[in-house]
Amino acid sequence: MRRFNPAPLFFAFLSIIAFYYSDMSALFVTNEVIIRIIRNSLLVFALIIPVTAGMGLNFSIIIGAMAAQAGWIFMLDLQVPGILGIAGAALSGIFISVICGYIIGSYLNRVKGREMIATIIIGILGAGIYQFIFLVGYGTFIPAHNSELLLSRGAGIRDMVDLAPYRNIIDRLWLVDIGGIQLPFFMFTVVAAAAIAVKLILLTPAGQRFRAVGSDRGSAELSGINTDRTRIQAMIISTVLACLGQIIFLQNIGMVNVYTAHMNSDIFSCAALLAGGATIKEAKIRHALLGIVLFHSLYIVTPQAGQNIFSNAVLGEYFRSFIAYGSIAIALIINIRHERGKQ
Amino acid sequence: MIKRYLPPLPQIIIIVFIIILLGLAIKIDIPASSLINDLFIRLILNCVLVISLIPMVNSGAGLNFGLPIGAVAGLLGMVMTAQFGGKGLTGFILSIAVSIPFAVVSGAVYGRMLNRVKGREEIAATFTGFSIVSIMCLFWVVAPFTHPQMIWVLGRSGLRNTIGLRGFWEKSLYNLLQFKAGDIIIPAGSLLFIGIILLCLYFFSRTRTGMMMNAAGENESFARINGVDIAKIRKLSVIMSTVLASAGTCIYAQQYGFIELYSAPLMAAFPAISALLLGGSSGKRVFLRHALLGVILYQSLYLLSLPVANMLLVPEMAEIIRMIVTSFIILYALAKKSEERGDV
Amino acid sequence: MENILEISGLSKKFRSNYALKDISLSLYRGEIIGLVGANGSGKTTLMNILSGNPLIRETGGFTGTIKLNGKIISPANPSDSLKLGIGMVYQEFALIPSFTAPENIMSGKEIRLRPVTSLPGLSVPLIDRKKNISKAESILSSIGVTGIDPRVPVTEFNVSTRQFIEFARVINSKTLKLLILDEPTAVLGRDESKRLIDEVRRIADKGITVIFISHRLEEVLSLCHRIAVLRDGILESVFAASDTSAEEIARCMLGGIHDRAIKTHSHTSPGNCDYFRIKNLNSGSGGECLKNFSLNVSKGEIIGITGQSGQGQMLLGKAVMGLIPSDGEININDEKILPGDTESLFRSGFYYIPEERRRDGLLPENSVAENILFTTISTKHAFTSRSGLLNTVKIHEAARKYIYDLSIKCTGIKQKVCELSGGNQQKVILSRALSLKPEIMMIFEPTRGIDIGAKEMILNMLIEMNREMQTTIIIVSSELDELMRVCDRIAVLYEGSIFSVLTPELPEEIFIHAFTGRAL
Repeated sequence: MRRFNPAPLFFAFLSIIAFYYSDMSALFVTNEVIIRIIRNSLLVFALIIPVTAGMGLNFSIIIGAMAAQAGWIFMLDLQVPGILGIAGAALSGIFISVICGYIIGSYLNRVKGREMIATIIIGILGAGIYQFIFLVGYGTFIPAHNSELLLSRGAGIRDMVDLAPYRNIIDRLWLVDIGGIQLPFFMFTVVAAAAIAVKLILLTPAGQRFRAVGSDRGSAELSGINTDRTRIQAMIISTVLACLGQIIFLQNIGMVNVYTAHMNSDIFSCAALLAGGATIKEAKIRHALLGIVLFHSLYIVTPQAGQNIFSNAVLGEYFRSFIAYGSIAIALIINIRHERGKQ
Repeated sequence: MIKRYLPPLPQIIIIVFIIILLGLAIKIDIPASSLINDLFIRLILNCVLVISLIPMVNSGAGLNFGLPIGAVAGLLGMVMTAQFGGKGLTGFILSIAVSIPFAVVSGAVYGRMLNRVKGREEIAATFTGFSIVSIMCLFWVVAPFTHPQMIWVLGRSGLRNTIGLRGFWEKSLYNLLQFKAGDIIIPAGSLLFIGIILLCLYFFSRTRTGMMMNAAGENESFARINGVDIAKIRKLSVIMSTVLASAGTCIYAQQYGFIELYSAPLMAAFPAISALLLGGSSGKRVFLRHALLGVILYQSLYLLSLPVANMLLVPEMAEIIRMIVTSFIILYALAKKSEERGDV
Repeated sequence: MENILEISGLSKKFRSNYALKDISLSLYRGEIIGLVGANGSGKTTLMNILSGNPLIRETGGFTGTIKLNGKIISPANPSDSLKLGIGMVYQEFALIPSFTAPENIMSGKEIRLRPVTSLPGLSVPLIDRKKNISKAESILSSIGVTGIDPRVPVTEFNVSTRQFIEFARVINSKTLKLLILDEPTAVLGRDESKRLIDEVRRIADKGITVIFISHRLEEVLSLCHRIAVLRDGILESVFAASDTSAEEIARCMLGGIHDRAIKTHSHTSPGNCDYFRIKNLNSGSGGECLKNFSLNVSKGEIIGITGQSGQGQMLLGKAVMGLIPSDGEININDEKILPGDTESLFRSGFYYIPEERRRDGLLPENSVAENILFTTISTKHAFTSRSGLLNTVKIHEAARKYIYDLSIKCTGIKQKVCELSGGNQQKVILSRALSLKPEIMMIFEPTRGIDIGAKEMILNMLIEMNREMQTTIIIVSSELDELMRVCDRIAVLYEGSIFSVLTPELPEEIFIHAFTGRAL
């Protein structure tokens, strides 16, 4: 008995109204949305397995994003160009993500039932450690090979580093132009591969374990599943996917805002997932994809719509922040009430 | 037996940290008087915000991650008072008075919501707080405020991001009954004001309602069986905490000299919660002395790390230390609480 | 006959309470042994140890040894137990709610896909849905269950179907050596019970040892080879099924009714016969529940409620107070009150003293004075001055009086209640009741965990309350001895409702039969 989820309709409704008032060209919006799909898919996919495993919204995907940024910085520091650099960034990011995912998963096993608030705080802690490493460490106790990366004072990475050596290598590969709409097929393949990977994982015995733990942890434990280990596995996969997602995200943008690129990536990814019709307890690939389209179209058109309706672009920006926070708040309240209702 | 008197791990670490920083500070010749003055100022800034958490913790409603809701009520009170030209001590008192009705109403709604999300209050409260702060951003932009010191002058409409309180009631409480002992400024008026708030809370705990509220937090099933309406009493505690948070925000703004609107209150809950946890209550109940100790420790760490970081390391180091310490303390407490509840 | 399981000297303590004391028992291969117990927690703890419930390790582990096939075992989690070959069918079911029946049955043992062109022996770790469904269906049909839709989540099936699915899940194991069944027939009707029992017999014939826990003594006698009786954590006796009868087992469970002293008090003439009525109270589900529980209590009487463990008595107070979801009706003096309406209950003079003293009956970190007078303050607004402040002086005065009157051993009114002994804690709770002067009081296991001397005092206090303040008292207890001495009537609870209401002078046989659900 599937409950009808009005979220996608609500977001579609808002987007259509905002689009109408924004006077933006459909072509422009479509191209922008395609870019956003490429950029954000894996980040949102990363949320699916923790939700399935009953751990709620994994706000600590921000840690995976920071791992990706670390990877990029390493490659820039060692000045490894081209496709090798991209691979290097991804691999070093993945390595960090596996370790972080393991630590986060182990910690979350000690705060069962309060994973979501814990992942938010973990994100803050991670950001602090990240800043310590890159703002303080580089140039002081971490040897910097590429001094161009450093701030003028000689220590700490600059606010923004350019990903010029890696631009246009994969993001415009196999580009097809249909009547003005730009479709980068290589990146589509990457997104599709990630989507298939997540689906396949859920069709394996490991996937069954995730679903069992998410459905009823107590019963899963009694039936012999090592729920602690399963949850750690879920976090590792999630963090690694988030890392890959951020690698793609930054590569697509073409530069890294070292201290702000990861900010709000967790909130927006969760909001997008919920916009697509997912809940705290159930999330599928189709929710993620639909959600990215809906959430980001809204995101693109609201500032201009705000400008046109109220002659104030800032209103549009605040409005979309509110939509992001508000949709998560409502999803939490409704879901928790339903959980209690079932008890 | 000794275990009962041993302070919790984070407290020990922080105290060690503080001692180290103190040593460094002495080494680089920072005058003690400036440190003490700074400490007083920071206490006034943050004390009431931390104390605002106490009613909810003691009633079993948990740590108030929705503190921004109370902060927003305080902001509303302040901008309305400023719009009508409040000045001096009267302006300050008025700002608190005007924010109280907002705090009561929003606290009641917030409390009702919390009663329905038992078990996951923290995350629901966090995002409710975020949502309210962000919807208020829209309000600050469109609200018809006209005071020239409050609004953007050219081009943009709406209230400024920060509103300076010079000419309004900046430091009006701080300057009240202030006297000097050598180089040390003792803000007796502010301390008195805060003391009165503490006293009110103390007397509240000695009333019938206060007794029932503490029982609800101490042992919920006992309280239910013995005549306490848990939902009602928790809602009351949420209202109390929200009102205190709004008052705390007014005190903060008065001391700091600026009303900080828009996204400023977003992260207001975390440092306050961290400070309270640092005070180290050993059981379920939090006493006023825990809160006070916690604020002193937390703020000492911050105030000592600033000059030391400036001199020795990079200036951002202080903020980084604060981020790491704050989140670490909360994570530690979350794990400890789960362990005690037997969730693991 | 070889011994497959050897338990020797097994003891388990929770805090300072022995749930199991020095249990020694050997089971041989292929035997079916019934486990019955007057004290629920003894059985459950034993099963928790064997099935690897992590709670055991978290609360300090156990002492003594368990040998499976000669090797010492100590399972730390259910996964360990399964690997050792111990399978447990839980009373509350360990089914994953969102899984289908095949998914539950094949959990952990899913058949994987073999791609046609792959190397022999290599299988892609994707689940072969079709094969899993057919395997599950074959297991189900082997226990007589057909027509289960393999696509719907198990929550859609009724409780007896789910019992069989749970059963199928556990027997789906090639390495099963020991099968533990916890009240498997509690939710089944007569025919289905028979089917399950036949299936259990068939499994035992294959050489698997079975531990069968049930409160239905007929079933236990017909199925099991031997029957072990647990009482208060001790293994009272092991009977051979062919040599014994339900009466003998029941008598062993109750520990015999020794002290047939005539009740030592006479109460005031019985008042209103329908002063306190519970009508059709339903609560709980699955294992322990209340089913259309109804009871009429006369004003001023002392009535006891007793029965085997797990018959629903522990839910009674919680259901009335609304601590657990329930429906039904309560009538006090013809005023209709719904379960959970604590305000009306207090107004009508009702007071509930729960079984778990420490957990629900006290504020452990608070003083004796606060604990004694809490409810009088909260429900009757006593000791409160006009400003709302509590009158501490008067509170302390009143508390001191109770400490003196009841000889509560403590260092003073300010001492924390958690530091008192069990008996003194109970006195604090009763002082609270005394200060409240309730019209009707429901008290659970008043003498549990209290030493002999204090037991007498508590019972006398109850009698005195009844005599001096005309308090109507309902005592829910497993100590039939004590109830016989104190109560005017004793109601026996069986499978969620009152089986019969007896009086203390009736012969033992009637009680024993009532306990096992049989009328004489």
